Amino acid sequence: LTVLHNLYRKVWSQHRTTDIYKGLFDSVAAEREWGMAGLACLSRYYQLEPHVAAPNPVQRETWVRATLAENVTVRGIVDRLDLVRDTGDDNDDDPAAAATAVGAGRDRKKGDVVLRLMDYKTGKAPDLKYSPAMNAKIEREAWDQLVLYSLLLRESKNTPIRFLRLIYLGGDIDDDDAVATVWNKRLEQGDMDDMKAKILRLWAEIVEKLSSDDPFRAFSGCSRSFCYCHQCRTKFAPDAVWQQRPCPPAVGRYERKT
Amino acid sequence: MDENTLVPLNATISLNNHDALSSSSSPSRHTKNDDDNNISATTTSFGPILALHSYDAPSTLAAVNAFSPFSMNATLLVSPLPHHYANNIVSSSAQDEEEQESSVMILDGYDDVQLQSSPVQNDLLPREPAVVVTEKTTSMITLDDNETARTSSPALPSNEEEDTLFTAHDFNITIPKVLSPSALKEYENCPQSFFFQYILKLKQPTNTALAKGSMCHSALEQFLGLEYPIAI
Repeated sequence: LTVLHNLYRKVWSQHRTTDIYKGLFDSVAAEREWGMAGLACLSRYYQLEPHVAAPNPVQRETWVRATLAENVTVRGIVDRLDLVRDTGDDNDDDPAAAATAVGAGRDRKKGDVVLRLMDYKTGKAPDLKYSPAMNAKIEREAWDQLVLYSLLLRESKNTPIRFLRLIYLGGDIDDDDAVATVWNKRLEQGDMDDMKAKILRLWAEIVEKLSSDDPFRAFSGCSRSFCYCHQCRTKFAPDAVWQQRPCPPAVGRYERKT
Repeated sequence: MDENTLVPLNATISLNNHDALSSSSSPSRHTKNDDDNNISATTTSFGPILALHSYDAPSTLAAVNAFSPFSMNATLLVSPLPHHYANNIVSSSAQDEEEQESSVMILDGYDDVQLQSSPVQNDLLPREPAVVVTEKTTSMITLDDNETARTSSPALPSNEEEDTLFTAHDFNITIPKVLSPSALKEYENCPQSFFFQYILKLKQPTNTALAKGSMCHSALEQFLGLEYPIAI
């Protein structure tokens, strides 16, 4: 864990004065609080996978790129691919867990050796406290990115992903009850087929709007107060881009002076 | 000192009310001069910065635990000979005075040192130092204590120099050839935010949440970058 923490410190030491990050904090205290929260996230990760033998990555931070249709290419970086064993027990919270015990002296269940795609999130896991329909929507959206990466791997390299894993490393340092949360999912071919159809639909929408007479007003904003669209709209002349009516005041550090 | 002995040189750094750093450690016999014989550091509004000041030979290898404002301990692990690498970068607080005096590294200020990273080994026992002193060629960060942290704002392009607002004529619109999953997700959540960021290239400034995610990913990437034995 100390090594992992020190790697975090090292990485931050290398980046903290770069143009991207050097204006991020108002004070040393704020920077330290942020850093401690990052260390806490990694501590929670280490609680999950404390031993050298536990994680078994065959790939990490790997670029993947696939052309899903003519002029439709998607690319991204996969956090991690693990070799695991499919025990076939879907009632288990982690049907592939036994295979992660390679070398750790634990019993190994029999089953195919398969690939599991993993993604780390440094925030909290979505709160599933809503209606069943809403919870299902939240869960589906949480898995979307991993399903898309699995699709890219299938389309580009014919790499078969059997399992997905999401690790939420928790929230702030002052949240004593914060724990890492692991979500597991068995991936079905239909998930990827649905994702492919969705990507093609979104792409077609984007192209249609960009090809319209006024693409600047073809892309509408949203009602989420934290969204970047509210800040960025204020950088444009009136009616140059889609505007919300009535136009709310901009918020944040890029609020425009009048 | 036995040549196989790794000498951890531990310096405990603390911030005082003036954001100046005080530190303590044993003096080294390899100091440049009598005034430089302590590990020392200073701080800026970004936090404390440590830098290697001098060393007795170019072949000296050292592993330095990364130092940043949320780490109030800096630990040097020093090997007196080139082939003796740090075998454990776990911090140690109990240090023998004589061993510290035998060490070959000196920390002091910001003077002319280039640091080069090398990976930590997969088994948590680095066979190469985390940081290698290569040559004295470049300066480390030299911010004054009173320098403000907010020297510039990243990201969003500014058009305030002329105090004018963007119009459609300021951009060339092209249909993207490649998109990322993040871009597609952004389009799904907010088409206009997608348009600003991925078509007009008006990138959103980074924030603390994104920064934390990036740093955790980088740390984990290095942590896992490695050579786990596959034994399924």
